[in-house]
Amino acid sequence: MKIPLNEWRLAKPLLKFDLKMKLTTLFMIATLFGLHANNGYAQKTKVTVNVENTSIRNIIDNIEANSQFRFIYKTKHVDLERKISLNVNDAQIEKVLKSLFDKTNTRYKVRGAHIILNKVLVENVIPKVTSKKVVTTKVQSFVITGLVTDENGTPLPGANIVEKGTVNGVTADFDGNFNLDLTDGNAVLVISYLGFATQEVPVNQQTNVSVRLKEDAAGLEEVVVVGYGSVKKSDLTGSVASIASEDLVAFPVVDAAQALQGRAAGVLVQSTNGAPGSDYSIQIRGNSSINAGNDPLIVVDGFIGGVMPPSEDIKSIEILKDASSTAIYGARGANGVVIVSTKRGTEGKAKFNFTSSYSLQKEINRLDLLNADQFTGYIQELYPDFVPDLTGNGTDWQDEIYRPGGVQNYQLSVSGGTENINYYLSGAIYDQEGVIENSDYNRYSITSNIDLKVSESVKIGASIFARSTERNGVITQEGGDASQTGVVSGAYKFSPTQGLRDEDGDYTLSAVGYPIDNPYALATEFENENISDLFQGNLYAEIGIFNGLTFKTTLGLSKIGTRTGQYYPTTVERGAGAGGEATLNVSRNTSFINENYLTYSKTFGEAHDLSIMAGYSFQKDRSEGLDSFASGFISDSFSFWNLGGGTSSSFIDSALSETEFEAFFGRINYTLNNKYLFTFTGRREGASVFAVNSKYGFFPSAAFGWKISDENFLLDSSTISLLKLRASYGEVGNQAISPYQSLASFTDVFTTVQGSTVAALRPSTISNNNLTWETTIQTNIGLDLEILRNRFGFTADYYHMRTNDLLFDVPTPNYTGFQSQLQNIGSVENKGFEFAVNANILQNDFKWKTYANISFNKNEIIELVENDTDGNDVYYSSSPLPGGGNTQLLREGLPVGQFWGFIYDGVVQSADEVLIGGEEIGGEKFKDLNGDGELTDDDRAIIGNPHPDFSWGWNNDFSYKNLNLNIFIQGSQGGEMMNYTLMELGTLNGRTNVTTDALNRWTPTNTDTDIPEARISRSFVTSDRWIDDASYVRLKNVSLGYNFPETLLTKIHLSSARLFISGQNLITLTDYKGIDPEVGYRSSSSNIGLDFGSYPNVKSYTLGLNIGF
Amino acid sequence: MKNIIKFSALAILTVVVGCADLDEEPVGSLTPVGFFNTVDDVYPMIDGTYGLMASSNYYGAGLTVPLQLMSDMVANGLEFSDYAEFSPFLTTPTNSYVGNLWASSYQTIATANTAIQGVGLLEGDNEDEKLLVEGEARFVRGFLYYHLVRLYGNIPYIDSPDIVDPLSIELSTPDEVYVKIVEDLTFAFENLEMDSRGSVRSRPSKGTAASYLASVYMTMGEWQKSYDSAKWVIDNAGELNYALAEDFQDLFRNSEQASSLENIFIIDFTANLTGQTPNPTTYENDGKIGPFNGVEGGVEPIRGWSMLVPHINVYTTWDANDYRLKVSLADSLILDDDTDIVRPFTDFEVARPHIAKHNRFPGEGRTTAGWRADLDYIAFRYAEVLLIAAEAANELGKTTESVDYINLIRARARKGGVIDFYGSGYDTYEPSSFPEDVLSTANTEDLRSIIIEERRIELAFEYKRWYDIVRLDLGSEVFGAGGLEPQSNFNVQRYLLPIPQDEMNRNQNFVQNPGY
Repeated sequence: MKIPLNEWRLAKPLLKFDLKMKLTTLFMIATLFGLHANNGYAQKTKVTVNVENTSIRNIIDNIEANSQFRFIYKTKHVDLERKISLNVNDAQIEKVLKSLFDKTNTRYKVRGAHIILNKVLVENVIPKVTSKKVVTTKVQSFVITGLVTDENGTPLPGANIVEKGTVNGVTADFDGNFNLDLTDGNAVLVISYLGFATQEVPVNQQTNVSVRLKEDAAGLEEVVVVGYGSVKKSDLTGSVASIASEDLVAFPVVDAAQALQGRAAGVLVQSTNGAPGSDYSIQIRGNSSINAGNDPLIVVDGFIGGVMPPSEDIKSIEILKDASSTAIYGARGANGVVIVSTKRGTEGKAKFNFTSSYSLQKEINRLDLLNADQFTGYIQELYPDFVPDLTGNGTDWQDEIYRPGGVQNYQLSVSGGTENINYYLSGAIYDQEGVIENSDYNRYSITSNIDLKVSESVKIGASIFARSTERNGVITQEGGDASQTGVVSGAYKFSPTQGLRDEDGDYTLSAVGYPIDNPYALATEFENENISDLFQGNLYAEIGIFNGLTFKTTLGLSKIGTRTGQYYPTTVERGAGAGGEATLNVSRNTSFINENYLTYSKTFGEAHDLSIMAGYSFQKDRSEGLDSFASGFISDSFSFWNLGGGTSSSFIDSALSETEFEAFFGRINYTLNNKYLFTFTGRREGASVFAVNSKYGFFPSAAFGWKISDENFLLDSSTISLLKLRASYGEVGNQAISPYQSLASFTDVFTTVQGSTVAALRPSTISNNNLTWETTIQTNIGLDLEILRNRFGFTADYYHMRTNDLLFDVPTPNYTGFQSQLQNIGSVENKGFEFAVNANILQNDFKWKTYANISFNKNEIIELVENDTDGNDVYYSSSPLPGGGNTQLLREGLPVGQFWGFIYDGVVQSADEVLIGGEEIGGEKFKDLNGDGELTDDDRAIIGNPHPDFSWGWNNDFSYKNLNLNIFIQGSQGGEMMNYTLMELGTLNGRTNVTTDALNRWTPTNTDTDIPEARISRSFVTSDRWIDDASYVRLKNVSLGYNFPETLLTKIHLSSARLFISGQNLITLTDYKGIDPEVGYRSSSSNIGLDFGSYPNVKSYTLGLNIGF
Repeated sequence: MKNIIKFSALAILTVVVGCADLDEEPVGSLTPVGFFNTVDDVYPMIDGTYGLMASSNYYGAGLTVPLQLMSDMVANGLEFSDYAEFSPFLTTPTNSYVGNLWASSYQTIATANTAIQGVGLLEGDNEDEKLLVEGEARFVRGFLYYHLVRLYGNIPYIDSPDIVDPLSIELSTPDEVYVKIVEDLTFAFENLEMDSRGSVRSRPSKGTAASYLASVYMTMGEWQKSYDSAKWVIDNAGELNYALAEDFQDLFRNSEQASSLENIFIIDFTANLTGQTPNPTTYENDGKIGPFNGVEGGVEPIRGWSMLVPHINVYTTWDANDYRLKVSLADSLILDDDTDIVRPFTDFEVARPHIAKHNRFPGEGRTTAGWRADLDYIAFRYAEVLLIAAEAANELGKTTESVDYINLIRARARKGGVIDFYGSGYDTYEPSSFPEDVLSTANTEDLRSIIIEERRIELAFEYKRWYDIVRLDLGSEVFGAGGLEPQSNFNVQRYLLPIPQDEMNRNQNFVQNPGY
């Protein structure tokens, strides 16, 4: 529940200074955007007006025609038809204006060449004086007591009672009673309670009042945005989670997706890498696919597949989870839908809002590694001749690469409107310095939403979002062989006995193992710049055709241009070998969308509410790419800007792909007696990516809701204000395959004839004329309960999803001439429970509002394609390390992505424990599962499950007077992670620095340990030694805010001001041995729970200010 | 105003409704639909087959390495992964090269089938052009099946790129496959021209088809047909521009290859060009026989990996006066020890003479990694046509004619020549009296042995010997105690490779070759 503290305050006029401030700001913006006003113009320019009995309108036109002066005014503020006679020659504009408007109630101001006309609001001056009186007069001589109830006499605990025009107020106690000291007996009380109409009660010298608030339909009926429309929250039949703007801006986030973490049941948000500007993945209700992607569909202001603006510009995010709500998006809804609604203007004066914050960031954790002396001891055990350059502590490479990071985040918005035009304009800047040297990210964006009421029945509007980002990245989460070691892995692996530079002044290369670059050199010398520009615009027109029937059409266009330039200079190993290596990749993506739909709503009699929506959607996406590479440059100074100067190998490639969709869709909502809710949706969708025999699919859903609380037996209940049962069933598709995959194709073959190349082809893929989407069949049963009217709310959902026709690259017999064919085979099941609770626990001076959610998902592979030698099992490797063999497994009956390997059994302690093919005494011991005395691939087993049992979030808002405190805790329980970082270090084969665990390694004198001895020949073995429980509880955000008191704000002419300090990721409780359980490596549907060389997530400390005026 | 907006909005709706077109028309990649319009669209697909043949999955190693190793002429030197199984006849159905050779053969067959299908899609009435291009594609298909059927025995015979139900395919017997091979090669013979496309020997001509027909009939034991085909080639050698090279060494000298009249079909390799940069991931244009045959620690370009090395008996039984021995083997070499002293083979890491045919004159640009040389691999040369004619004539009782053909080969060998490679065998070999002519008094039985022995020497290490052993059932003899390369694991079931296990698993109709 949000207490509308500002409501009465905003009503208090502050016009005189207010306007000045706003105009100043406006001019500031104008300057910012390059509309430079010439301040001296008014002084320099002389005006001549000679008119007889002419209307003000004509005079204004005349002045505008003969000068650069432009008048800005509202027609209703200026009496344009008033006629006057005026004769001035070569006069300053001030003089002319004085003659025109003196003694009228129009006042004027000259700002450069702009003349602003406004109405003298005489009546508004008075309350200002009054308020001053209130502030200065501290006599509180009058005490009033009272009771606040609803119309039935049920007490409304927590109702707000405020003395009008002041900050003086209290909240009703549990029995609805209050008492309040007033300045005088003629004050007016403003009584408000969410869901009820606010009432003003004149005190009139009474000492006791009893107030009955009326239910406010509009306020109670919170509206939730769903696909192609919105419904009252109480009428929802599907499973929809809603996240409000204040949760999205609780702390500065680079991407609104990040702000969703822990906020909604069934929604799993994870950072894929901690690097500045990295993506966050959103997964709704588990892995429904194995190969086709699990990303939900993002819809921004109706733009399907749009990009979310910064969280500051978002009004709310709705997450559609069940088939009843997602089937309206047809073949694209199977992974859930995230509907983003940006902020729009509302009628009223221009409201400015400025947010500014600065965060100090620090890497969340480090590994404890050996220092130079410890490292020397370890290496000399393997290589007795090893001579360290440095002794003592040596170089701490984590110290070398990490630095304090920081984020500056600014946003300025202005919104407002008149009866006919509403606007919201915002500019935001996000500027992040990463915690690793030479990594940063910045983002500039503009959001502009305009709504125009053209006539009583026609509304048109636009949502424009433009964004420019620039990212400088370092290499992390690298894959492949050791020569590609990234900065973070390098900091773990590089020997502490070496300095930054060698005696020649060159950056050092590792003295042990593969000669990798030192991580500082790699961070600072390698250039990796990514620039991305986005324009996304969506126009709409909404036309009321006749009573109850409206037509809406939207026209959207988005363009994304990205450019990535990389350069390995000769100062690092890779560049040195190639004489510098430059890559420049450019891509352009265009999306065009047009949607048209009719909505018809009508109530028949008392009992029947009907709403029908039907429409058509067309979308066309186009993606172009150009990749180029060259090497062997005369100078490093070219960076990647002289590819033509490359003297060694080079290549260039280009690609184009186009995708089209069209769909007819519709929905029927029928409500009987305001108790029984029925929703039917359907979408017939066609997509070009599907095969010729299955271009179109139909995706239906049906849902039923029963508002039990509106049945007679509960209607009068004062405890239960809402009890609703929901059930839905539907089919949704996942079309996330690339274009042209159903087609047969030819590819180039390299062929020569006597030394010259000739054009040659071969068939490369076999067509599949039946290739189609994956279909998810979903059932959802849910319950919504509200007790004591918003005091306590509870939502529970059970869902069962079965995804059929999974896309698989099915091995084909080789005699066909092809290795595999993309086919629809296999199925996966997800089922689970979701619970969400919200409660207003304390509602007195000290308020405590809490929201918690928890979700349990169980994932199971039901059917897989039959392949070669392994039955239906699919083995694959996610390991970045060479030689580890297959590390993961798909098997029917088990969740996706089980870890696969040996079972570690400590250190081989005696000769009779030695297995054939295993290590000798002191080495790693693995269980001989088949008991044949040999260590072979047959001794591998399932060694871990990456799927958490449940994940949860718990948000708390406390407030006391002007102070508020937010504590947000988030966690995940039961998932396991495969830690390839520790596997690489812990193999102890003398090629890298290692963690301090190695100090306890087996030696003939230290046998009581489970860390094996160092051994040169040891290769990487995937075993449960590297699997950890990744459960965690994390203090995601703590923020303490202070709202400046009204009295002070009035003096400095602000409507609101909030100062806050906050901390993110401050405390993490976990047994995970890596640096952070909340990471993802090579994240994909089948690669979950992997950790390798990630850019660390950060701890942040934020100081911020938010001002409204 | 109101109506104008309404109507214009509705107009947008109706305009847009009409414009969805969900057919995919990719621009950057090629798809079969509408691709084949003229014969010039078919030739790139045929050229694709030659590219696939010139890969390390086929002639570059995948086909040629097992053929060398399984014969009695080459054994394992330094062992190398699954390749080590072939020589001692320990090959299993899961051997990766058994699977790769199968897969790459069928990939190339699919390419040839696509070309043949493409001919059927051509428009216009230029029948001659169509027959010519189809002839070339069908030659390729025949060539590929000829290798496959000899290696694997019962195989699936695929003649279309579109297989409706791949799992219903059954194995065809060699007899059935040979009928198809003869059909394809006969079609090629009837429709190809006397000169090949571009006059290069890496593309087939009528002569190439006739030569392969002679070989196929020989394998089938159809001696009259084999004789007729070989005789046709010999009779038309002038017009076909076929003749024996003067210097046996020049056959394996890159600089002479392009102009050699002896080559009938070659696999074209080119150094320093690869399909992909900077990191080649395909194995196109990648010939590994040279480095695999080469000497570990030897001087360039014979430096190699000593993987495929002749048994010492091959060297000791070979008459030291035979110029072809000097060309075929390197029994001494400068080693990479900075002394420039020519060392005897007993100093080699694998102390046996090494094969020198494929790496003494590989041409410029041989990469340091060892592969990608300019040397083309000879698949068929005129000397073999003469030897087939000799064999067929002998079987048909035409002894004199048979002897004449053999003596043409021997006469060339006697001429000697120049081996001007300083590292090994450097000398000018004057004409000698060895090998002396075969006497026309030889009986059929003796002549049969002489011919097969002549094939062994003349075509040594040229991937022919294994097929001769199989064809003539020589295994027990040549791998027995008195053979060149005793192999205790040999039995006649080893004449065939196993059908790859993955394929067995996929298709229930398949029956594994006996003994696997």
